[in-house]
Amino acid sequence: MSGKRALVVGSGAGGAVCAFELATAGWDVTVIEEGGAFALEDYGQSAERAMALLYRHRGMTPLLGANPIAYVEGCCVGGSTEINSGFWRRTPDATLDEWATDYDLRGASAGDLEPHFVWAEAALHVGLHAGKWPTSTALFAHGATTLGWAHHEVPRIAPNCRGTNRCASGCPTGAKQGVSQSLLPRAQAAGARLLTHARVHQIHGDAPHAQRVEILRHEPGQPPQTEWLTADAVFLACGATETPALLRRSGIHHNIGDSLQIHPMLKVLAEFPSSVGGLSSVLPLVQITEFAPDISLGGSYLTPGHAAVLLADNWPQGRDVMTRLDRVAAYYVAVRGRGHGSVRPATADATRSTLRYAMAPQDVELLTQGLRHLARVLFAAGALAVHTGVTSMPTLTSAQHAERALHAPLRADSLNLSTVHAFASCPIGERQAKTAANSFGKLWGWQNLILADASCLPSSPGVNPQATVMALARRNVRAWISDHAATR
Amino acid sequence: MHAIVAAWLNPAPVSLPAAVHAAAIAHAAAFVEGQVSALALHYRSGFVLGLRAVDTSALRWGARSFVALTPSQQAELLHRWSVAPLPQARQLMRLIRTSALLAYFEFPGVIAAAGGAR
Repeated sequence: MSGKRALVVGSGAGGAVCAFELATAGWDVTVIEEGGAFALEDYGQSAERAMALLYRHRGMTPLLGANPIAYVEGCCVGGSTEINSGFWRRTPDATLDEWATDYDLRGASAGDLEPHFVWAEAALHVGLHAGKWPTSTALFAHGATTLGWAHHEVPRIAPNCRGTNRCASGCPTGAKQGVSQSLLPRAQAAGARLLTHARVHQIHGDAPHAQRVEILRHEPGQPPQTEWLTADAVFLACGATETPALLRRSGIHHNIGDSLQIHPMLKVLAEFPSSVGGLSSVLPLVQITEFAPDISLGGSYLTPGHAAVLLADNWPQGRDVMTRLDRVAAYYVAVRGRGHGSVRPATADATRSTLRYAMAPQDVELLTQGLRHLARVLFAAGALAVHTGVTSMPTLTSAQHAERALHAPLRADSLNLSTVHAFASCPIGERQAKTAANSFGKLWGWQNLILADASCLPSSPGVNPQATVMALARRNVRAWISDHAATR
Repeated sequence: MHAIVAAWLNPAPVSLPAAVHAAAIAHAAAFVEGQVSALALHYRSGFVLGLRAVDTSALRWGARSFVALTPSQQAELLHRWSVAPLPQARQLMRLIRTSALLAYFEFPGVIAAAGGAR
């Protein structure tokens, strides 16, 4: 050990990378995780049990605004990597070019990030589905091929996925390589300690040096306790909503929590003439990139509970679908949000943040267009009906019907949107006027506070952000280690 | 809460024994209450006020509470709230409906009847 102490706040995609790199480099590392640690036996439970166990505030963390958007994130060891679908997309080159131009983000070209992607892909066993595509994937690909639209299978971090459709409840087979399964054990083997049920309330110190953090411990069955840990460096990896809230609680405000962005998503159920095994096979794996980066079309896991939620807003007309779920698969349209959001610590409750997001008119236009495209490809795939998550919209029964119903932008308040992708609440880059930290995540005005999570993305990446988060986190932490070489 | 959840889910959306349906409804109602308890305090307070307003609106049919309405009156009242001009009213109904449906269809006896494997 070097004797130099690093605290890593959060144990998700970014935190696990930091913990591994720092511990391997000889730092004395403590990872502080607000949620609990769980074993495979705890995973794969019903959605409502999983929400109580693995999600922040049982999933009740909406983005507020004129049109509230359901947002959930993991609050457990491994963070949201434990509850996502495990899709893996590298940051598009165009996005990296945009960040270089708009934010003067340096050292983050495709070539700069290449070794970090390669490393993460090896660590998480990223790959394509082994074996024959499930029917719901093959049909979607057939629809895209029929229309001549660009599409491809998206790699996942689940090399031996057995199709339990329990991605959102924690993978019960261990096939999905959430970082609790993959990277954190390696970090712990290298000496990192993991502190669970511990919420960092504030960071204390006089700029430019943070000196210690105040932690609220809340072990189950124990009275809450406050503890203090000193640190030579603090790596902030508690996510796009919690990192800015923590910084603001600590009195750090410069471009913190003012620019939250998301990928608003609308899910649908497609009903086919015969069984597609949607409940008992791997989720649809193909993504249509014809309209990227603004619009993505893809597939989602399916359980009876999630199907019912997708039908909830048209329940009287949709409830019959619950008797035919073997013929149903779930798909989505996601857009690169142009709206803007904010994160603030809640005034009345120290354990909460207030999240707001204002949709841009362009978001609604893109979602409407995307829904039209999605319906079109699903009918080309042979669907008999498409049940949308749009309030009061009748079930779509043909491509022509979809064209008529979706010819003009839908009302924003009719869209029942959700997202699991939030980022850019503390953007990095050399343009100090619009960023919270320099290109390598060091907060402006502070020498030892480093961003290493989705908050530091300059803007929406337009793809699943896990790969981007891990690559930027590794780049940031390695730059720090290189500048502060530990003495073994 | 139990009465509102039952009004959404009656009759049983999938074929299953009455006892399983009743148990799933009780489970779903408890889940909705748990979700409400996870809301921030001011939203929780708004939710409680909203529920009282739902109860009060039963007066339209001369009933003292939601529970006293007939099933068709309950269904109509919930529909009115679901499409009300006031966004908060619609959001209240949506929270109850989505949480209840999720929990109901994740109940072991129901999930099997709906074709899900556990």
